[in-house]
Amino acid sequence: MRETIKVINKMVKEGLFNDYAIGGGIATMFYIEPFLTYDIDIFLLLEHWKGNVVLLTPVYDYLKEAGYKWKGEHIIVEGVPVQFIPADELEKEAIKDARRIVYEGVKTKIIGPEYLIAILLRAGRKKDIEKIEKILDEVKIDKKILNDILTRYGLDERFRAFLKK
Amino acid sequence: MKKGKDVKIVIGKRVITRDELFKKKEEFHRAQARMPFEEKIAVLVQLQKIYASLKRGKGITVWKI
Repeated sequence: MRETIKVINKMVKEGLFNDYAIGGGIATMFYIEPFLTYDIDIFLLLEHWKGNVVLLTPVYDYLKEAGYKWKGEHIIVEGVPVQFIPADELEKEAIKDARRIVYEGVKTKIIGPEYLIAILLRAGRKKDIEKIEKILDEVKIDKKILNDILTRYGLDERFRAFLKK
Repeated sequence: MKKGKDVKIVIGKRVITRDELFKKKEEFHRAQARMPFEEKIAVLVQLQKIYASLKRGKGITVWKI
């Protein structure tokens, strides 16, 4: 995974995207106990937009030229399946707010727990809800920040319903 | 047979209640959550290896770390 992150950092330096943060299962695992997952979700801050269309082609072309192969919906970067997700408004904020960490000597960014909860809540699948429960159990959450995010993105009602269950 | 709180569990020379057992289980999960990120990824790869061997390698890439 160290080498994978190095490739992604290099892509930022080379201007393929402006910034990124790790989200999804791996970000969740940063805060809670390990569980089985298969890929790394990389949320991208990029400017390759044409109207409503986001161009991920340069990102994938770069990786294909570097010799990385596709497997299903993922591209295998240094032995790790990676999925690149262009960030929407909520995720853009999450990238800007993300925690800067060092993984085996390599700098990277992980989405913070409050934004992670909001993103998982919005996705709303059973496995996402289970992750939220674990995060709330095991992590000290800044409730003020969480409430602000949930309110601004219209997720507060959904969160209250989740807490009632 | 007694139920719930009254049940005592004998593990070798230790005797614990069901409540204590679950409390310890909870503590274990919390300790796992506090593990360094690098160690968690190593555990993940072990889980992937187990899954891959159960599925005979189908549908999963065991990560290189």
